[in-house]
Amino acid sequence: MLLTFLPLLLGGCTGGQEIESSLFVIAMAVDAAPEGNLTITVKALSGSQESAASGASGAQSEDGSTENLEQTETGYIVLSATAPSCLRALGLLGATTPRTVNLSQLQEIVISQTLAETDATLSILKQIHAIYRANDEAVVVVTPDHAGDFIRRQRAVLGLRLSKYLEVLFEHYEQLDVIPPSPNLSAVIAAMESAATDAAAVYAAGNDFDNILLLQGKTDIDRLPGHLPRTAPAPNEYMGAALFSGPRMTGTLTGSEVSLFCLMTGKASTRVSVMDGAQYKTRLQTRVKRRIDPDGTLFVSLRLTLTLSAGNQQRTEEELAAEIAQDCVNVLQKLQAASCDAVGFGKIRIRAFPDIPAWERLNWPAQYETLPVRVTADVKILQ
Amino acid sequence: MQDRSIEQRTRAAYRARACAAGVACGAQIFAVGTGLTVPLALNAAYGAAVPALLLGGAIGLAAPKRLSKAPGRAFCVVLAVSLLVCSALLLAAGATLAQQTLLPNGRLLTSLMLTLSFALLCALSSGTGVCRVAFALRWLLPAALAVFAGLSLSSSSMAGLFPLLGAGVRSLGLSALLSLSACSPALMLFLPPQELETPAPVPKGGFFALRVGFGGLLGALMLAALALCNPYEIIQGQHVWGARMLILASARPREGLVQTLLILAQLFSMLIGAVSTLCAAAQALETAFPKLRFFSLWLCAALLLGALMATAFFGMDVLLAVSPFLLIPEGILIGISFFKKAPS
Amino acid sequence: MEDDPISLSADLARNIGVFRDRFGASGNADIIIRRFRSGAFISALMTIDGMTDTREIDENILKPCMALPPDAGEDAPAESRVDYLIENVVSVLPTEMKSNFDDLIADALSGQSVLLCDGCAAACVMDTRGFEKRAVGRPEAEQVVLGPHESFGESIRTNITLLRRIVQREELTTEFLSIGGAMKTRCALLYLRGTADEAMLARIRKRLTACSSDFALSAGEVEQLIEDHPMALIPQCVSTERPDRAASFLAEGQVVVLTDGSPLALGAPSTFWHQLHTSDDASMRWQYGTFLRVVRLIGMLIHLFLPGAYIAVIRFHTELLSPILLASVYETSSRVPTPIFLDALLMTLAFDLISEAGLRAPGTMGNALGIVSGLILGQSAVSADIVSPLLLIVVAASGLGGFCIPNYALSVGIKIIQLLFLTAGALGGLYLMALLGLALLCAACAMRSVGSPLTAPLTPKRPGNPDLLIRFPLWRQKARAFFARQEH
Repeated sequence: MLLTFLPLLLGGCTGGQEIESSLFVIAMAVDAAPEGNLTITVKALSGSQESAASGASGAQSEDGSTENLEQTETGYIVLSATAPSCLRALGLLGATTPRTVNLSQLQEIVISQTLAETDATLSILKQIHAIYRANDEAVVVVTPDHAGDFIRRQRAVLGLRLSKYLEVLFEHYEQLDVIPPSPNLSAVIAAMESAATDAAAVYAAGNDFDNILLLQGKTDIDRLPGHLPRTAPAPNEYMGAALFSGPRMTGTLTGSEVSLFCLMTGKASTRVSVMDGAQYKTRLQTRVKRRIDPDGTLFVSLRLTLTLSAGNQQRTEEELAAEIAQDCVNVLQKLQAASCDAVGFGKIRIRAFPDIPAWERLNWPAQYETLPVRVTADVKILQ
Repeated sequence: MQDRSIEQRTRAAYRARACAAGVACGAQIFAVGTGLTVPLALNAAYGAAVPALLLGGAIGLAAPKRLSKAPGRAFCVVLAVSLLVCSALLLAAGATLAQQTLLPNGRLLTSLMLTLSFALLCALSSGTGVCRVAFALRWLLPAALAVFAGLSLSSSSMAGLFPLLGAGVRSLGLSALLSLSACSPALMLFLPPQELETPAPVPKGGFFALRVGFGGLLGALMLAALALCNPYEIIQGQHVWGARMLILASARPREGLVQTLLILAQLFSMLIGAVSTLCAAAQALETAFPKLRFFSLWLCAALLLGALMATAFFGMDVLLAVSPFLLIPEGILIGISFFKKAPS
Repeated sequence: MEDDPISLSADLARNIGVFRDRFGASGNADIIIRRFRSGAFISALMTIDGMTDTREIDENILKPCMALPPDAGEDAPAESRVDYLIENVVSVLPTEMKSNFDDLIADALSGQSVLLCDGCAAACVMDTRGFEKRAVGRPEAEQVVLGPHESFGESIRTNITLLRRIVQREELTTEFLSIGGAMKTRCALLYLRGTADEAMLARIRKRLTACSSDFALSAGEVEQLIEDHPMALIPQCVSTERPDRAASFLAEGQVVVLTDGSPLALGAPSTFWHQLHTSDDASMRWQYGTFLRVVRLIGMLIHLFLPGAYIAVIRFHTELLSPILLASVYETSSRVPTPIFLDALLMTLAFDLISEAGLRAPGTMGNALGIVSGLILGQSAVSADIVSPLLLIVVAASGLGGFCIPNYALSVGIKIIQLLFLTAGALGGLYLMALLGLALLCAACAMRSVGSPLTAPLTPKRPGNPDLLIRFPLWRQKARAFFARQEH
């Protein structure tokens, strides 16, 4: 009977915490800092209606890292810390607040492009996921800007009474099927670890209207600002996808290329196409066929219906089909050039091998870059 | 009329016990699978569970023969020890899964003590209560596991199952051998339900084998779900037993609720299995030593406490290393049940 | 030959003396022992003032006896004088001939009249009860929309009559038992002969007669004496104040125990499902009955789990909350000075206090009390940041769910279990709640009600009327409950 009462005595050891003793991080940014350090910036719920105290606390710790507490919009605080590793930086943040850092509500992880192009990304993401138990659904974003500034620019939008939500540009775009299919933390980690597939994360940047290069895109979709109601242009702009080969970023896709990519992976069934001034609503008629031919050709077959929604149709079905097929080939070749098998041909190839040692002897990433690509599109125009 | 009533009640009691045995077998196949065979066979671990299912079916077929004979003392002692090891394994599996998922900030020792304490509370009503709970949940629990696992896997592809032989034929064979004793909890069918005054009439072997097989099959399917949700590279990198039991692949938002419900369903299965094997072990000890009638459960509890404390301090490998050796007593008990004739 | 101290003697004066001594008649003004001449011999009538119908006694006993000619009955043997009066003079339905002082005193105390004759060592007990009793009223705790609105009262005879009006069958058997030690309580066992299981009947009889307490005044106390698990939180007998519901118990093969002085009937054995059913379920169409049962079950589950689950999620599993909800909870919790577990306990206690106060406060004050307490106190507590508004909603929703439980005893038991789950949720999150849930399920499944499993026919499976959650159409209910005799 003593054993049955033991749990009551051990009650304190189950790790329960009052909610106000947690620091709920909504967005996290990781930047490379001098001397091999990392700067972690987090945007967290402040737990009060008033804005947080302004100014830097200026505390100095033994290994030289600094902590800053900044003013932001009502309901949120921004904290940053620099340390040799991600875990130590998060530990510093927790020690200074002083609350326990809780990543269960994390909506996005923004990584600077300079860091993403190294091998450090995977270990950072794994540490955040495994040790801090970050939300599996957090969107992984790569930015050419300073990642900390990226999340500072994002603003919360007042929604329902007694609630606020951080505007998440990417959720809206997900509905338009123009963001990479699985940019979530757990999916990105799994893809980075796997030899049969590669990761594609969201690529976004600050909306610098003076920087023409950043705003250059082939179609309007690449310059389209966010659709959430606001009085000023969106501070951050969706740019496309960041391509990874293993743990390292190796290329990008523009927004319209990503929509074709989503079509080829079967994750999107519709997209908006603009060809020769005419706008079409494109819809997949059947499931996309993907296979690897006996000669090693990476083959994709699409059956589409196009509905004219604006402008005048100036091309025949065959011409449109050929253009779509060529666009798809360009996207696949861009992926090959980046050594990024985000479409998942590796998952098809692995089926032919009886066991893992045989599969690993193939060295699929090296072989993938050299294989020929073929796409066929069958288009039907609906009036 | 009276005879028909007794027959109905007897059959109901055996049915409940068979359901508990099925749940326990499924839970043990999953626990041993994630503990021993997944690190070896990687994504093909579900295939390694098939021989264990066959052995579980054999136990089910042997049960009526066994129940028609009075068990000897040595038989009961061996049975008690086997069932206690199964109970310890399932308790440890449940505790580690809970500590990894639901109580991440707590200590493993706390989780183990909580699980043991409440398992004892459940066992106070003897095996009757837990067997009836298993019977009541006989459709709900499998449905919950199937639905929640299905929802978790809804966005994953079949690629996780490939390559089909996992780490290779040798690893798969070794895994199958190590997990052959995973249906040892079915040995509880060798004892009659405690609420019956007379154990007769005993249902036929298929009655038990079907339920044990169904429960075990569910455990194997859960191992297949594990393979679907993670590429083998991720599985290779998971060194914690509890972390290997997580089934989650969906990229849809707010899956935390689905995953929590799935984990609770998994925990329920493990706890029902642990409590039913504990009660059966106590019953076996009581049958072997009638003077121990009031102390058999507490003796088993003390032994379990020792096993779990050893696990907490030396690691889960202690229990997992013992688990394959259950094949020896299991084989002996099945052999005796099938081949030894009843005294005339 | 010495006088037997236990039994009557032929000497009327001695018998009267014994009665006077036993009742302390010199100081006890309620005892009436009326001597009169009935023909050739002297008789006496013993009653308790206020317990009998004096008009019936006057018209049917005293007047006819006293009007006898002086030689009437002189031929009758002395030992048969009481029989002579019963057969020829007295026009009240006689009950029994008894000769034991203790039995006769008990009968007189229950409102019957005892007729004694000089020379006769036996007395006749006649049912002349005429004490004031409450009229048949409406049920207080089991109100329904469509069913009848009669309820049991405190008179056991009236209650039996109410049942006999519904169950007009020759098999309906009433057995009277006196239970208790010094102060006996009269109980009636009603059952359908041939439908109720004999072994189960014997068990109930044995438990009732083995009662060793000094007195058992109410049905609730009788229930505590016959139940299998007195330490359990769930009641094992079903109680009702509705005759129609009690009649349905009889039809199912159960035994109904009525207690004199208590307006509740006990049905035993019963199952857990009986405590969730109401007579409205049977009065309505099966679809409506099923829907209402599901609503009640959901209400009970909300009452049981919601507060504990809320605390568990806030303290251990914040990942289950959406960011919007979390932001709201986070803000409000940051302003509240007390830990959330203490808050929840205090709120639950306050809710229970308001419920109890509303029950005890007289008349219209009881109705207004709930509104005043809930609105004013609750609103003030939220405005003063003493409690979180979301927690207030959770506790209120949980309380509403508790009011859906039709059986009052079960609702109190569930309320206690709710507190256990609340504590478990605060100490160990959803895991500890799951462990506790399994332990309670195991205990409930192993419980018995007078030998029958409490959770049957769900588990263990028993053949019989499958009337658990779904209220099957009447034409599908072809069998009685499993505790009836097998041939039914």
